[in-house]
Amino acid sequence: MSARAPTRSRRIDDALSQLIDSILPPLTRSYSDDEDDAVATAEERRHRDRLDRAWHAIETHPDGANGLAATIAGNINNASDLIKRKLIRENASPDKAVKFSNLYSRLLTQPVLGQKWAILYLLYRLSE
Amino acid sequence: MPSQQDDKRQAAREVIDILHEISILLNTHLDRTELSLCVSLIENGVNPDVLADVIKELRKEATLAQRDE
Repeated sequence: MSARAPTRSRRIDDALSQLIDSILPPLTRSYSDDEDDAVATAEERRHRDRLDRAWHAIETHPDGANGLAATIAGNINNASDLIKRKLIRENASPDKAVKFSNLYSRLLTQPVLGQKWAILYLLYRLSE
Repeated sequence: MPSQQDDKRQAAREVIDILHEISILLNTHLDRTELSLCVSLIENGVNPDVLADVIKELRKEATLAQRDE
């Protein structure tokens, strides 16, 4: 497989690579000089493997890297409701739900983001 | 007089501030850098369901790796 398949967006590739390094930092134990090269090569291969697996997941998902199809659009547009209900359900006091509502109102006034609901949906999916 | 570029950068920082607070409310365990990377990925068209699965998979691997050390 070529270093980076031509259809893969450079920006997505770079961001994925940095995200992988952040979640799975390379091994930091000290090695002798001989071992260093071997470990570095193994690390590089491991990183490449994770990046390819991430790309595979993106490219094989029905919506993949071409945005949001109708199948999940419903979910995503309701992301703020999903979050509010979760915060109410999982907390004795309504404080967190109220705080989220305030943050959400501020978010709606922000012009820079195009995919607000998709990002909120991601946070919902990653929440504990 | 701040340039348009400065305004845009300031607005981007504010958005990440807001999203980071929401992220903390939801216990996503994303740090600010990871959150910014996720925003970039989604703004560039990556599906949030797929990205969530990729992150969960990486975290599972990280947990196993720590256990082996």
